[in-house]
Amino acid sequence: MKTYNFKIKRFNPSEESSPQWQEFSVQMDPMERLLDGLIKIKDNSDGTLTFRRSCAHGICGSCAMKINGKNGLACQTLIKNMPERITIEPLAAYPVIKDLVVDMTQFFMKSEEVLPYLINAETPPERERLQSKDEQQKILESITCIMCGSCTSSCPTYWSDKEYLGPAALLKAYRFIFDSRDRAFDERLGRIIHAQGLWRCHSIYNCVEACPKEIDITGHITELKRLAVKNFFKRNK
Amino acid sequence: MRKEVFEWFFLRITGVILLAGLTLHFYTMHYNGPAQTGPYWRAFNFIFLLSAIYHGFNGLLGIMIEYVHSRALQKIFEGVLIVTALALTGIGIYILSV
Amino acid sequence: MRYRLRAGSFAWMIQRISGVALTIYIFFHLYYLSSLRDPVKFELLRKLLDDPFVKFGEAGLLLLVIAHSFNGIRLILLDMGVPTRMQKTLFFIAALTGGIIFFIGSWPILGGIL
Ligand code: FES
Repeated sequence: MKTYNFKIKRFNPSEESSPQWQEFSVQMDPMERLLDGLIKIKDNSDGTLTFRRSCAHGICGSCAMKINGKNGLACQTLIKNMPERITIEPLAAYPVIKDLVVDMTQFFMKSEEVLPYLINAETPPERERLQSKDEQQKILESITCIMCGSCTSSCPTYWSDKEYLGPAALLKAYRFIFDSRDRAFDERLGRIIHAQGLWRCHSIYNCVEACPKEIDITGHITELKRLAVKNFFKRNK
Repeated sequence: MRKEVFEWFFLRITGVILLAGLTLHFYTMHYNGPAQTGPYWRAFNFIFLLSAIYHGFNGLLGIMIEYVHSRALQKIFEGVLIVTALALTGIGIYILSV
Repeated sequence: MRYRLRAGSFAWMIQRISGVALTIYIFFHLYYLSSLRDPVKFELLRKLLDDPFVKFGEAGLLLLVIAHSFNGIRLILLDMGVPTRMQKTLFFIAALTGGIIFFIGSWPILGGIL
């Protein structure tokens, strides 16, 4: 057991005018995760501490927060890898609802914009639309996304420009554009090549470093950029 | 929308042109390279000038829309930037015609 | 925004600041050159260029150009498909070669006064 100092940014917009820092010391076992620390605080010291969590196994994407200045999942952060002083803030660029809970409506709207569902009017085969191994491999990494919002919240462009689609939505666009079963290529490309789409990505790589699923988001976005340019010259021939 | 694709691509093309051009420009200015006369130099200087202005002002336009959020203001700034760029091109052509 | 600064975001900041500065510089550069036809003004501006402070300014300009170009090359390479895991290495290579070229290139400018 070791004592850790949790410095948490707390804010209740309906009652306070500005956020406040509060510190807690927590006894932690090296095998525990950061989320366990937060649960301990809520159970033993301050029941009003608010945060989201559901699966506690890095699958649902609820517990994304800014941990020591970098976005990540609380349930996937091992306490033995952490320094003794831990600073925890809500995800940046989303409005705070309370403490570590942010309003992700904007974030989900961005994904909505790129049509996050299969579009294929052909009559489906009796069992399912099959894919070859290679076709699946192409989109496998982008499917891993759990929509926790860490990437978009870490993107400097998104901090200043809330109209930008953001890395998560662009990754979602990739996932369907390169899906061999999808038939809405032109429509999808049109939804990401406008001024607030692909071109606001400046290869900063904050999203790649933030992604708890270690997805090479910028690499995927770059591939989309190349696809858009190729498509541009093909059409103009 | 297609415009943005081309702009992004052309920003990179002019970037490469500028890099080559600047090396030459710097060399002729500071290491006493050849005198810049004749039609080839003229063409080079002209392309160099246009690339520099395109690259610079397209960059500024991109930065602007990330910090200015009202559509109306964006249009105004865009106008100002384009007019400045055209004026600079005019001045540049005037210098090159000396 | 408090967020951990990494190679990628640092490179982006440099690229942005140097880009804006260089575009503003185009303005002054063309203004300076447009007085080529006026001998009095030209002589005045040419004298100004011998000022050691202006010389440092010129070296600073070279630094901006090198930073912007080398990171620009890095970005183009990444856009052309160099994998993401290379981005930090490329950043350090660009910083190193850029630094060396800056020292070589700033010698004819600063050599006279240092
Ligand atoms: S609680 Fe589900 S991802 Fe952390």
